[in-house]
Amino acid sequence: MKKYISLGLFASAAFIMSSCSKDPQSPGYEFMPDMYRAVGYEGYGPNKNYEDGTNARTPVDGTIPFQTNRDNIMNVFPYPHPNTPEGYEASALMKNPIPFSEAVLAEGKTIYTNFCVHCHGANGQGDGGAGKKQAILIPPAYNSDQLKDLPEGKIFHSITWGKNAMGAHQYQISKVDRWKLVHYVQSLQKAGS
Amino acid sequence: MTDFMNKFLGYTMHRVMVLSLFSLISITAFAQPDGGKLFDSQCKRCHNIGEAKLVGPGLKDVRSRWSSEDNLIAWIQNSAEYLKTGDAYAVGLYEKYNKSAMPAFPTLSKEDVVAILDYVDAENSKAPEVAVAPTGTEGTAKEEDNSLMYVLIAVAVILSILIYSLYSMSSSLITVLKHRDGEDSVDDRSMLDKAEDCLKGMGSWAKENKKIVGLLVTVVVLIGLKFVWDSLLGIGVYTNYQPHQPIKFSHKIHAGEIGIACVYCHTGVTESKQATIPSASTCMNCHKGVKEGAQYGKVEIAKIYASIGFDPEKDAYIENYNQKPYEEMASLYENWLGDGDAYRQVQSFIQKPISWVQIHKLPDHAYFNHAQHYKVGGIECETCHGPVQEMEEVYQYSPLTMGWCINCHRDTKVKFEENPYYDKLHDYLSKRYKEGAQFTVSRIGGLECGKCHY
Repeated sequence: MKKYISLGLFASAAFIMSSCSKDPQSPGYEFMPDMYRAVGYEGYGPNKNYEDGTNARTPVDGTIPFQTNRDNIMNVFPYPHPNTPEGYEASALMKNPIPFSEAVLAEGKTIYTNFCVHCHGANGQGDGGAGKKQAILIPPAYNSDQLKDLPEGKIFHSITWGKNAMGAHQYQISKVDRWKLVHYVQSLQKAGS
Repeated sequence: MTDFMNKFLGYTMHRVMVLSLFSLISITAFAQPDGGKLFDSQCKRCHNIGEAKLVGPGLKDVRSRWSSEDNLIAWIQNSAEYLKTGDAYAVGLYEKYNKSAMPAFPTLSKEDVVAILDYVDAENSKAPEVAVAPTGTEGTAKEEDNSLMYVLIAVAVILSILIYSLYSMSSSLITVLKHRDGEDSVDDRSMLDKAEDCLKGMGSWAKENKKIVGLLVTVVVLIGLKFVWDSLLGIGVYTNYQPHQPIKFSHKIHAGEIGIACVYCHTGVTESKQATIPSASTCMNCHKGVKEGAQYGKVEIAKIYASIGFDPEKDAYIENYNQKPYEEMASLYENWLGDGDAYRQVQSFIQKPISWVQIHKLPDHAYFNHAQHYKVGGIECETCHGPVQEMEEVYQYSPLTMGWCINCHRDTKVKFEENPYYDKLHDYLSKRYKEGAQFTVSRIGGLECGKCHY
């Protein structure tokens, strides 16, 4: 009998324990919500004053952001070449405003690892993880005949507006960073050929 | 004798079985249909709980609009079937909403529908402005957690049944003993009398054994205090909070299997206080080409298209998407998906921003800056956010309590080397201290109140 009683007690204890685990759909209790929640509008919050109901805004047309760092001043100026075949051809004349150095190359490599490697692969061979899942995301290798002589302006244009299945990356990578990235991509163009 | 024992055992077993059945029923009686959950899963895509019209009418005061509740229930269960009865109000509704009938819900029982209607009424009488506001981004509506109370009630019921059956067993045994001694007494007390005797017996036992009772009471009180203490410690700690997101975006596939860097989407982490949620255009970098996922097919990707205005048939963005008539856009995505169920999931995304549910929430009185930690401090995302690359659905990994922040600031060594942010401080410190001296964040002011609270 003792055995059964202890068994019963154990079972009910386990039942209590398991039913105390938190519901993952609920964050739980909050201590003094008026100190937790901002009175002002927070990023990404809803905002009834705007038609689309969100706080996320796009910059006002015809304005550029204020830039204190003179080195990055080019980031705020609009990109002159449109996303058209003519724009692509015209971009070939652009020259890289950032002089080549080992430090710039290292920075370019960091940017490449963060933004390009999952499609273009670690060595620019087009063997990234995304292509293994979806064949449409396999780009040509940088040192292939198709791409190895691509001028730096066109590389910059392709990162800015995208090309074929690739999307526009100007919203994620600033202009200065894109030019640094061009240095690194050029080093991959020359590699192994 | 053995014959009598068998009879007795059979009797007791029978009674125990009946009693346990009773206890089972008493537990399951708590599991009534949850109107809120049913509403969220079945109705929310087309109906607002308040007055506003979505695809169908708002549900405020829906009961009073119908001639009888049975008609309303029949309509909800199968509207096409109900239309055949020619109810004037139903036909009017059908005409008013462009002759698009509500889909049939054969899975909803009458009780389910009543639970949903009760939920709608309760929500409307509670807080209409909360019900109308878009849920999601804030996503912190608290629900009272009654499960513990139910458990305690269930335990109390089970224990009292146990005590009662033990008592009846002992009285049956006494009857057996009396029978052996030749006394032919039959226990003819009623069940209630027995229960009363049982209680009396317990009371007199408690009077005789005050020490044991005192000990038991102390133990119960201590366990109760421990419960209270633990639940107080959990207030404001959201570890393991794992809400469903509007789009079933899998970090496991994107960050894990494909190996996309966190920064690719959360670009703000290098520059700003917030790591930023990517805009839908970031998704489109790949998904203008990849239109069907391996795991969820077209549905989840169609939600992005419906939000941003991308025409997957023509492979082009739709000009002035948000000004286009809703019906036209809706039919575009319905045709592309070619599946009513899939389309209903996408419906609420058309011409709307995607409202992700916030998981990590720091109180307003604490300041945190992502760029400071990621770019200057060189802290990996995983240190605080855990193995996101393995999470199918993201949950909060760290407690984000003040103690947790402080402990990390006490232990983490500042990376001065090749860190332009700390050039001046590094020069000053290296003149004052030995070369190669290590400093934790707390030594350079990482524990000052004003660093985070201002």
